Amino acid sequence: MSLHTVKTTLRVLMRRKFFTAISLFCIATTLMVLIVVAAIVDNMLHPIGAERNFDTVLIVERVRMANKEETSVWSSPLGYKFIEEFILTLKTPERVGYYTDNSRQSLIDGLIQRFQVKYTDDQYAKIVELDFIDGRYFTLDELNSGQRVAIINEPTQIRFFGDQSAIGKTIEFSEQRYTVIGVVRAEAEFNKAAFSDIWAPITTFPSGNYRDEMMGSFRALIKAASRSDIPAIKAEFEQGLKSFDYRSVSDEYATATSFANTKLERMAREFMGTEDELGSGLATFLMLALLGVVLFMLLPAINLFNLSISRIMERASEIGVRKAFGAPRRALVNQFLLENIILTLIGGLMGLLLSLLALNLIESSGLIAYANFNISWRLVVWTLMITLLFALISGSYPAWRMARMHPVRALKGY
Amino acid sequence: MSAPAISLQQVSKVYQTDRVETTALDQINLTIPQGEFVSIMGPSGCGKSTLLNLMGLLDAPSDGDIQILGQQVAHLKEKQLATIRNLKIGFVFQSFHLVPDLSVLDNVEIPLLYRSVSSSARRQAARDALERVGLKARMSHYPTQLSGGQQQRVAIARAIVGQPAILFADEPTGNLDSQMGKEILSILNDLNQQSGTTIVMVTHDQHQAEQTGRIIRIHDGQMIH
Repeated sequence: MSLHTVKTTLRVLMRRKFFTAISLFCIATTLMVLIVVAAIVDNMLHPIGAERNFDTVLIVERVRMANKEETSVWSSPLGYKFIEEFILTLKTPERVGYYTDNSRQSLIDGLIQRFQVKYTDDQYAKIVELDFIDGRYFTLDELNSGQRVAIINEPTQIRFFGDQSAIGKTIEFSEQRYTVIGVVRAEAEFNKAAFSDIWAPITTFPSGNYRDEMMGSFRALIKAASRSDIPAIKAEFEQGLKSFDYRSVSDEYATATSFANTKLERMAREFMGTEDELGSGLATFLMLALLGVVLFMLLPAINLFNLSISRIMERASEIGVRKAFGAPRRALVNQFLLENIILTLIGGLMGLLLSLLALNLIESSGLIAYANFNISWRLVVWTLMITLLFALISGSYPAWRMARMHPVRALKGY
Repeated sequence: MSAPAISLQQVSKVYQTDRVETTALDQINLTIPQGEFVSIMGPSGCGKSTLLNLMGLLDAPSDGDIQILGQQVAHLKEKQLATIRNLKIGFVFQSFHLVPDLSVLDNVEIPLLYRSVSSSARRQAARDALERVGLKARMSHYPTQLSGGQQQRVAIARAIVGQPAILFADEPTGNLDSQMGKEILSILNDLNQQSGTTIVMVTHDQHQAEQTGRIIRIHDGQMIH
């Protein structure tokens, strides 16, 4: 039965070339857009690089502080003091680290060039698993003694030194000279914790004022021993915020609100604008994402649906014959659904190839710095599922309508 | 004594639209024993095809009882009717109704797709049926590559591949020249005599009708005796 259906489908597709071309274009472009978006999100949530083990990492990015009357409210990235009080004191995590992002300039061959510099502690590199091509990360001793050592990524090595090795050489930014001790592979811009051009010890930060600030430009990374520890870590962090006497830091503050988020929760908070709110809006975010996918697929599905209806009317005589010779409704529904699935799968395959092309274009355009998209098996499976959903949405009603056609009228062609 | 192939008791068919009610068949009583070759004649629009559709279970009567091989069909569900059509009945249409996207062999296989038959047995049965109508050499052709007579022979092969007890032929020679018409009628006669298949054929051709065992005449939805 299925071989017969496959043969019929391919012949029908070949015979109605214009219809096939429009249908495939419709399916392929829709799926291409979905796959590109899904690939970007997938690479953000499940990166293969330095953040590959972030499923057990919580990120604390912001703190909201207010006075007792809530008349004065401040909201910003973390200050070092906050990290010292609330993050470094946590007992449940396996380890904690932090970083601060800064834009720095450097003069190369007479031209001013900008670099992203991350000042970090020694634990950062044990959470963010940078891929070293050469050299190493700085040690605790180097951190404590404030030694000006730096790790740079591969493109930065090329910008400073061309194709020569960078290890042991010096680079200069913020009017300070750093000795390069390591070179790592570049990380995509959307992997915020791992993305940088240069990494340097926090103790070499140009000013020491950051140490007393509750609010500043820091982010903290909390590594759990396992995923099951995450709720306990969140609870400990929350408890710490509640029980702290803020007057010991400043008369201005009475309360602090901050959240330790997974990557998905962080994405939801950014999208929903709930950075400082109690609920992350994750459920709403996921619902909206699903709704977005369905709405985006609806228009081409309706288009395909109309094409399927007209295709069925063209094939009324065939339906009449099959019914006359005893085809039950279920068999006819299955046949036309399978035909639709085959058509959609071919479109899906084309969409996948087009999306690879589009992702390559995005990578080479520099739109997202150092982007290197990976098409995972998870994404391929999701694509397959979305394609099947698309086939079912666009094919179910036409197939059902076709199967209900009266055999005599079908044989007469209407 | 075996049950008749087809038995119609007081069968009527009325088509109803918003304003008009048209009686296509009016209280038809008809019995066709197994193995008979019957032709139905009458002017255009008299209800011949409607009668054939009712006997072939493609349409339901407005009133009356129909029995196929002794089985009452009035209260059967769509799925059960489809099973009877599949196992007991074959059709040959005036305009052949071959599926243009399928090869001759694939077209002939169609009735067996809805039975529990292995792919190889299906193909063998289709080859045998094509051999019976003298078209085995054309089995990988497509319908558009065949003449009208050849297409009708493929349609007959498709109708008999499942070895049905009853075959309905709706003006099977209507679209063919007289020579081709003769060939088709000869195949149907052979089928009736050699396999004992009951055949009910609608025709406008008096000469062809006379070659069958009995002529049933219809006029304005009623049988003329």
